[in-house]
Amino acid sequence: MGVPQDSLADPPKSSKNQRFRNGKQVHHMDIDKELLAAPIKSAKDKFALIPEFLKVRGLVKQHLDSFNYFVNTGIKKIVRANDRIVSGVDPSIWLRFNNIYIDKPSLTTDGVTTEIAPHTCRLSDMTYSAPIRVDVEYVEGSHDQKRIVTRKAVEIARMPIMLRSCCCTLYGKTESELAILGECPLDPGGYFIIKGNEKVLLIQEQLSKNRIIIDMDKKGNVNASVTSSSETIKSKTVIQMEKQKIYLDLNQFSKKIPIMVVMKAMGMTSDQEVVQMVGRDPRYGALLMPSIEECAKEGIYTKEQALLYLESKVKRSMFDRPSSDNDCKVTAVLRDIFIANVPVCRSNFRPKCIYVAVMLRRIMDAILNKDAMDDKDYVGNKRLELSGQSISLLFEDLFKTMISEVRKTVDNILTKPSRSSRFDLAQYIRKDSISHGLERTLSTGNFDLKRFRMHRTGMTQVLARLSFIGSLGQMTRTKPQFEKSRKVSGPRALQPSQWGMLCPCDTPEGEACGLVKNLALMAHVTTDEEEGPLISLCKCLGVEDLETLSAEELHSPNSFLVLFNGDILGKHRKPQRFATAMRKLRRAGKIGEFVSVFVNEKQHCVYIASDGGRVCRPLVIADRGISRVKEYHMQELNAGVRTFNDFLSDGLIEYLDVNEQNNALIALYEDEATTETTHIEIEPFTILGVIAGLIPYPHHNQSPRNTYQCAMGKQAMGNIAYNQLRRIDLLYLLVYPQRPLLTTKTIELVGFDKLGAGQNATVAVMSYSGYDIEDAIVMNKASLDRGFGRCILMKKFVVANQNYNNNTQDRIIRPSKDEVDSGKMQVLDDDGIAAPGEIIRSNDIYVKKQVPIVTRGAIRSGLKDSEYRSAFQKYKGPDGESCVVDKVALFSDTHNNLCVKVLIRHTRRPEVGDKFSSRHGQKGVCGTIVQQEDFPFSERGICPDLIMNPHGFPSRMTVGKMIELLGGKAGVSCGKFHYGSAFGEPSGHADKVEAISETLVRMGFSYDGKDFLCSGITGCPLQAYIFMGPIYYQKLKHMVLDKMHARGSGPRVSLTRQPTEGKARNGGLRVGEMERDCLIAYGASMLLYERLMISSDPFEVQVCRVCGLLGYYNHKMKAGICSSCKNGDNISTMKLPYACKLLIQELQSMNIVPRLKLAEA
Amino acid sequence: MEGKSYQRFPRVKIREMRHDYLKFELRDTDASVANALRRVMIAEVPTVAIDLVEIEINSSVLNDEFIAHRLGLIPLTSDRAMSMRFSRDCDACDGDGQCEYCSVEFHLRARCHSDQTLDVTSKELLSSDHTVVPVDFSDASGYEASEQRGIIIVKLRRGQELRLRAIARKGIGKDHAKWSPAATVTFMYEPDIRINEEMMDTLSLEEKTAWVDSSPTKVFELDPSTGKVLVVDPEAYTYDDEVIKKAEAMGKPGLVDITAKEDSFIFTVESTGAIKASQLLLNAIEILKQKLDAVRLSEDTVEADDQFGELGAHMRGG
Amino acid sequence: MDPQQPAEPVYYICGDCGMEIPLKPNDVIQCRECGYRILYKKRTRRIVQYEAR
Repeated sequence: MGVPQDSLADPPKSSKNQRFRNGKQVHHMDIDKELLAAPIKSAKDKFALIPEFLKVRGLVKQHLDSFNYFVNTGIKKIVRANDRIVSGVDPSIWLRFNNIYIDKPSLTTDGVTTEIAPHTCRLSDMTYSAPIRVDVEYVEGSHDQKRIVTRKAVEIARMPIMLRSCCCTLYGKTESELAILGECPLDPGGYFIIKGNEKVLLIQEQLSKNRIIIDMDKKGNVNASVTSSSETIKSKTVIQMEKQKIYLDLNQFSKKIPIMVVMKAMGMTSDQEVVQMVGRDPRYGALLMPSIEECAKEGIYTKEQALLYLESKVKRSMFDRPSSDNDCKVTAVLRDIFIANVPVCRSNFRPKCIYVAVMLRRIMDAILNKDAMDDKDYVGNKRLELSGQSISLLFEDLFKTMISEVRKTVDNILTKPSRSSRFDLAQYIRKDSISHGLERTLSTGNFDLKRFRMHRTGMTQVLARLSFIGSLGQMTRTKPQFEKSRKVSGPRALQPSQWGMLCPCDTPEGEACGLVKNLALMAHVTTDEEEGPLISLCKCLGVEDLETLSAEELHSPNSFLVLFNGDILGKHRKPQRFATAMRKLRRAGKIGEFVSVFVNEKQHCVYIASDGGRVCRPLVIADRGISRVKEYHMQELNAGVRTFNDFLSDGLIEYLDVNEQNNALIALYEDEATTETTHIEIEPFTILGVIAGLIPYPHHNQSPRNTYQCAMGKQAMGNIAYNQLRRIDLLYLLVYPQRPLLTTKTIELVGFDKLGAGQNATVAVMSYSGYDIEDAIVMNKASLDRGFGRCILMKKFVVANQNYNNNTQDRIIRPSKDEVDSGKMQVLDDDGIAAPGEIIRSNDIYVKKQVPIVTRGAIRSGLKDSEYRSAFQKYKGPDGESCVVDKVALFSDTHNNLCVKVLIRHTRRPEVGDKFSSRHGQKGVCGTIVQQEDFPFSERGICPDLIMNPHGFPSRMTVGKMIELLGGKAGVSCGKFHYGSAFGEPSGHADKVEAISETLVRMGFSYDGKDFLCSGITGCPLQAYIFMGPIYYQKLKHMVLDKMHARGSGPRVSLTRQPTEGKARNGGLRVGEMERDCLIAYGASMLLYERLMISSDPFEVQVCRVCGLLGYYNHKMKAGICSSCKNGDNISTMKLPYACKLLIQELQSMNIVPRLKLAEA
Repeated sequence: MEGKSYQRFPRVKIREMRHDYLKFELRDTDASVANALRRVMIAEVPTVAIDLVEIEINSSVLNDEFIAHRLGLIPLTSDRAMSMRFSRDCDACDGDGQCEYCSVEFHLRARCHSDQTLDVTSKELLSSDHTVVPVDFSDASGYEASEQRGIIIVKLRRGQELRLRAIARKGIGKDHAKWSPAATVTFMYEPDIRINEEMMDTLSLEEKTAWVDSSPTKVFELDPSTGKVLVVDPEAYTYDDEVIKKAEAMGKPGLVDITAKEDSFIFTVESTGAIKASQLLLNAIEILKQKLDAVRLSEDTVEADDQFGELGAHMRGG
Repeated sequence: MDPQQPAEPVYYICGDCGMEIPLKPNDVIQCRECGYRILYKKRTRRIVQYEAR
């Protein structure tokens, strides 16, 4: 190795050449088939690495890694940084946290501690959490008798535990052990259970911290901004070029500060030194000149003058004590807030000066050469914040709050003159505040941390358990942190640097399009790594320390600056050799596998990164284009003697992050590699994510179709998990789910073949009956009879018996036979709760609950029957359908109230209007259901399950669907599953159409998948050959039964007296503005009159013809009276919409008098 | 109906007959008759199938409706079905459909006592009528006696139990596919293949081989001794036009002329096992005749529909 | 509860060990054998009719 990096001066350009040359090469090789065959074989073998990778890392490893890091390292760091509580009153009273750790998830009830399983929490609405325990050391007693006490394993809070993390009970369990715990082995974990709800903390996408980003603002000024984030403070520093002059823009200063003033304030009084630091190129000097002049114009030459100037500009906060030393204030701002990531030790500002100089140099580079501008959307400039980091912040905030609360209470007690004898500091540690804070934040998703100025909403989502793949997809979803500015297309566009890291297909349509992304299959997100050893290693490898460098030497040609996690470490004279050495060490496993080394030739910098949140992916290392992974390695892997980690530690495979990828030349396949190639892709289909991986032949489809399928795959019904029947949730299940006939490698890797969400339907692509226009599907009744598209809908109903303040509680009573409503209570048992297995219809009562009439005031007991009112729980299901009580579970909730969960099941067969979709973004509703004998049939007796209109194809260009049909047909006829992995043809992970056609012909079908069909109605042959074969169809959760709604008369809103809105409230269908416009244009005035008033909110009013105001009807005098004229002489009775009357009155309340003028019609 | 008679006398020739498989030729009639026969076989030949399930105990993993649906789809021997009554017009039981004339009762009791999964199959369904039992597939598919496999209804683990009573009734495939006795009923038009011998003789031996091989199915054969192209199996032809295209590509359009004979059909009938395939055909013809009678009578009286009870229903149904 | 209705215990099934547990109104929801706190109701003894369609 070594050579490739050195020879790469301009990666993008050379890679372009490379591609071009490869294209030629492949073309040339087409002639020689044997030559072509050999390297492909080795490429196919490499696939075995992916299952191994996923076995080691799992599909949601990023979440688990991040949480594990927090639990094992992060939480300890936080506590170490805040390990003391010292009383403000008596400093000799203190408490110290010596150790913190998280126990196994357990529950303590009535003093008994039991381990809890996640499924128990799901069922009984608990939080799956574990106690956080600390070892403390503290001073007991006070005044004269003080002694130091140590206590171990004190519980200070409860931490919600991520499933399958190292703290979880499920960690390292085998499949059978998981089954005993009621857990699905295919479930990836990575979420929390908060009050019985499964919650996912979404991956947050943000701009990287502590890095200089050069960009242009709206006015066209070049900005260099750094978002600094250290353990103590977060700040944003912007250096800006405005009107040829360079300024500093910092929140703490009320105005923009000339940058030279800042430099001088930091001790760089010599202008020459500044120019030297920026670089000796005269162009830099010229650009810096106006700034230097401005500084001189202000008359600032010394450090003191500069500080004085800054003094006048610093913002005064109201809480500033006037006594505080003002001089210190400016210094403190410069030291602690201004580029806070650069540490200042012993008031040595030199590193900061150099940092500013580097920023200035970058600005000038950008001005001189627009290419030097940074791209904010470049994935290498982004960091993904995972659940561990979010929880770490949250915990830190809560922990600090807890400490200050404890200090406050301790001080309060200590100041009290008379105290009870013993003073035990540990007892004031309250565990509720942290536990509740964690629980509340995770359950609402609102992170509101004042300490870190973080206010974010929607951080968590309920894990969608609609389909297995949908929940998986949710775990790989990333959400942008900045608000969605609608207009700009930049952040929404597909970035070339997303290759292999983020899925190019899987993004929602509409508002969040392109902003919400999904991780690719092999992508991994790093966690923080220890910095100290890496820094000293860099020094050992010849990085010259900043301290030893003069300003002049900083940018001397042929030497590169070395930046470590954004901090300038020093410079190196032989950057390539340095980078090579670092990489060698990484490949040897001496330093972390996720440390990235990136030589930026343009900026003359070497970037070393070990921070968390970088996306990276594994690649096979190649030496001069020859893969390090050899045939025997793969054989060892298949034999089970070699694991994925062995590949890593033996230096055959390494992780590259987005930046380091720029130093690599990556070949897609080994046979495409040249001597410059440094890496080889493992498999090209891994650029797609989990959900896009389900699509067969996605590379033959028009790209938006794949995106549509990604959205629809999440709505497909099927199997949720192996434990689906043990869940009490809203579930959509398919009665006979199948595994797709045309699979992809991803499907097998993620387990979709075990938890399918669809059925293989024989589809005939033809026109039939006219009920198939606009993507509608004609379905075969016999297929439906036999179970096609049948689904089970499970709905959960929870009834809780509440306790009230006056010691009364709800009760559930036994039904009696001779009651009025007894017909509606037939499903009830003697305990007043519906029995499982009973058929329940709409309006039946499933829990006969009663609520005490008086729930406040004095404590009461022994209530009589008459003191209860009924609060019977009525089942509101679809009318005329018979549902079944599936399960009834009883448990006590956290407030020790009796809770009843009733699961009601409804089995449905497809009906006209139900939504179906293939895996190619081709959705359609069932248009009609036709008898089997009317369906077309082939000579072999094959009769399709559904008929799809061929008009679905030309405009959608879903060629993948056609190939799926062909492959599926070949698959059923030869009894072998066919593959359609993305870009899989060269490596043999996708069957080629030629091969499929050969199989078809061998099995006696036409090579083009078309069949000779006869009409089922007449028996005559159809005019054309019909493209027919199996396609995997998904039944989507949208069913007419849930949407169908109509109303005659019904409920009205009390305020406007207009009909209610929405199906749930039995609302009316609105004749809206546009509908109204049509009727006006048409002239149907009486219809309008009826729709807008008679059928809506007619109201009779008394109008005074004199004053035009509304009067009232006096029932005693049987006449209308005008209250302003105080008589009933000129009253007319008329009808108007109640909403109009309401408007008139509302206007009157605002001092506007609308008067009605009446005229004879 | 004066004038010329269009009456034809169709012929049926049985080619192959097994218990659940029948292949026959139907000649001298047209597509409407052939298709009518096919449609009747699929949708209107009555069989007996489980229609009502009363579940006593079900602790299996499958829910009640699920099991009921599966039970419904089990084919039952229905040789008696033609003479049975539809429960909806059975006088004996006033429409509750549970009398001996219109229904058959089944019982299923299964409980797993061992650690091994117990397969509950159609064999465990106990019938009240020995003529109506779940179809036995063991002999037909050539399994050995020890492998007497029924249709699996559900699998039980230790301690799970299934106890139910099921009522089987007569019905037709039009109502629900479970009553359809036909697994496959299809016909093909017999192809009429005429090779233009003169033009064929102009071809070289290689060309002939290429042409013969261009057919994906083995329709033609080249006699190696005489060098003549023979039609060995016209029915193997799938109307794929490949040979015609090939001939055109070779510059010999009209080398072969293939048409479908419009009055000659080759039927393939596969039965679910509910009734024998041969009986299925006979029943279908019987029903077709009844339907035709109804059509003939309906010319005379409007009320004919009602008089014919069962048949009237057929007519109304479509 | 109603005086004319003596509270008869209804049997429930433990979600963990599968034992049948008789419970009266206001009893603690817990298995007497294994201490598990989720109980399921037993299946109805009535016979349920389904159409096999």
